[in-house]
Parts: sequence; structure tokens; C-alpha cells
Amino acid sequence: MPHATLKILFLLCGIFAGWASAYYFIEAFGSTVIAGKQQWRKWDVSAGKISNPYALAHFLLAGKIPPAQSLFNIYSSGHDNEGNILQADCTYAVSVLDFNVRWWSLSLTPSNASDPTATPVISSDEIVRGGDGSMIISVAKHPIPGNWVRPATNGALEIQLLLSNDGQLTTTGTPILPSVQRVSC
Amino acid sequence: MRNLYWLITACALGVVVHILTLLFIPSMNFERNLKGLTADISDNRFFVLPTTAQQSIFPEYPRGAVFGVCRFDLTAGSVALNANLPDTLWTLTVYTRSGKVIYTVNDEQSGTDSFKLELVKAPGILEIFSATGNEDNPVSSSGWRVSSSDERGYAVFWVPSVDQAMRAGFAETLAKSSCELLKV
Repeated sequence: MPHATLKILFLLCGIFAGWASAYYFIEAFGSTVIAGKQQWRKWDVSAGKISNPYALAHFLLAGKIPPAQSLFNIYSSGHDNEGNILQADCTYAVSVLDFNVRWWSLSLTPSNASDPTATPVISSDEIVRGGDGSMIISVAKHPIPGNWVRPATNGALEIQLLLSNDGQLTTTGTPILPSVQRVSC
Repeated sequence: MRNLYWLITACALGVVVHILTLLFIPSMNFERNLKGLTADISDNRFFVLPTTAQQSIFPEYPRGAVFGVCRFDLTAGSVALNANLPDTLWTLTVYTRSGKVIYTVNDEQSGTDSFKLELVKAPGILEIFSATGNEDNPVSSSGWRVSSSDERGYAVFWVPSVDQAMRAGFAETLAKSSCELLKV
């Protein structure tokens, strides 16, 4: 191999390695796995933490504005209880226990703002609770009675949970995160 | 030996690309997105974000939520943000133009639904060292003061609402807020 070609190859490898490692680190270091709930990850955008630039980049690269860590806790999951990747074509039942916070929302990403019929978000203001206080949210492309969120796109999905941070989580630790059960596919 | 030199150069280039991808590209993306959504609105002016724009940058929030934004520019002086909010849960987050959070407050922390927040440019290192100590350090008596290291940024109010009817009422209240350049 000519020497000049080898030099260019070295440089291209360096550029690719830097770019690929940044994207890998955004997912790997920007969030932490929740103990006992392996499919859920917590995004920490607190200033001064090693995770900060990576977590921040996760939101900004997706064109979203990151919620402030002092006001919200952010969790996400791209897998169901069995560890399968969430798919927009499948139907899931998301069981939620009360988070004991002032406000929360559960949303599906990626979103599609140009589709006015998409309903990929449900919040504590809108949710219908069962007689025992339990909450089941259906994730499906077709309408399902009760609490229903419809994916706005096709392909792989991610569930994002936003909990208002009003001090209660700091005393009780990690909240009980939803279970995601695949119903049909 | 010659290959080792190029290997080290490639590693250094990799580190530079890693930092650029992590720090500059996301920030540029954030600024471009927000500028695009607020292109027809001048700096230092308060406005309620239209629902479509809101859905693209705040997809985690239901359509009923209300977002009020002030895109501030401190190059010509301080900016006063006069907030007028409904008596419900709300938050205010001040971001630099690169998406870094520099200030947050919510309804419980503020204790009031109408207040004045003064956004000022933080002094640079040279200005800090050149200060004599006898200079005036005025503390605003009419509200709170936030120093921003970046002269441009965004102050974002969020108010959740249950439905569109409630949204209209909250948006009307929030629209009474203002954002204006303070006369020097």
C-alpha cells in the first residue's frame, strides 16, 4: 500500500472512531440503568456531572429541548419486560403505579409533530385510573378503550417517562417504574 | 516510527472529532431548531409557542400544555422578564443558546405567579479582575436577577393543562407576560 494512502487511512479511521465513540458514549454514559428494572434508564442532565454533555447531546441531537434536571426526572425504555425491542406495530400494556409526584407524562419517541392525529403522549392530568387506583396504558396503532397512546411513526419505539421533581423522589429513591407487557404483535 | 506518528495523529484527530460531535453539533442543532421555530419573532419579545412548534421540540408534553418563550439577547443590555402565570403548576427554565440550563424555578419555589426576573450578562474573567471592589453592585429590588455567561439564550415557561379549553385560558394569562430590553 502506498505510504500516502496509509496516512489517509489512519486519519479517516481517527475521524470515524471519534464520531462513532461520541454516539456510543451518548447512549452508554448519558444514562444509567435502573437496578431491578434493567430495561429502564435514567437520563441525568445535571450540571457538573460526567454524564452531562452526553445526556444533553442525547436530547439536543434529537432536536428536543432537555427538561431541567432540578424540575424533572427523565427515564426511558426501548424494551418490554422480556427484553424485546419495542415495535410500533405491536400492542403493549404499560402498567403504571402512582408515582406520587405532582405531574408526570409518558410519551413515545420518535414523535412526528406534523401528524396532528398522533397521540403519543399521556399525562397525569388525562389518565383514567382503575377502581383500585391502578393505571393501564395501551400502546397500539389502533384505538383501544381506556388510556391509549398511538405511536407516531413505524419501527422501533422508546417509551419516555417524565416525572416532576418536587423533592419527594429524593427521599423515596427511584420510583416504581412501569412494567411493559407485550400483548400482541 | 513514521506509522506511529500518523497513528498518534489519528488518535488526536479522533479525540477532536469526539469533542466536536459531543459539544458543538448538538448545540448548533439546538440553536438552529429554536431559531427556525421563532424566525419571525424578534429577540427580547415574549410569545406563546404555537402547538405544532411545541410538539416538535417538546414531544414529551401533551398538546394541551402551554409554552411561553422569550429569546433574549443581552448584547445591548439587561433584559427584564415580567412573568404573569396562572395559579397552577408551572415551571420556568432559562437556557443558554447551546441548551445549557442556567436557572429554574417552579410555582412552589417562587411563591407567586407574577414576578420580574432580570437577565444580565455575567462579567467575564477580565472584568472580574479589573473590578476595584468599590464599584456599584446593584441588587434589583423589584425582582430576581440571573447572570448568563452566554449573551443569548431562551427563557421557557411551561404550564400543563387538561384540555384545549383550559389551554386557551392559560395561554391568555401567560401572553400577558413580557420580555423587554432594559434602558441603560
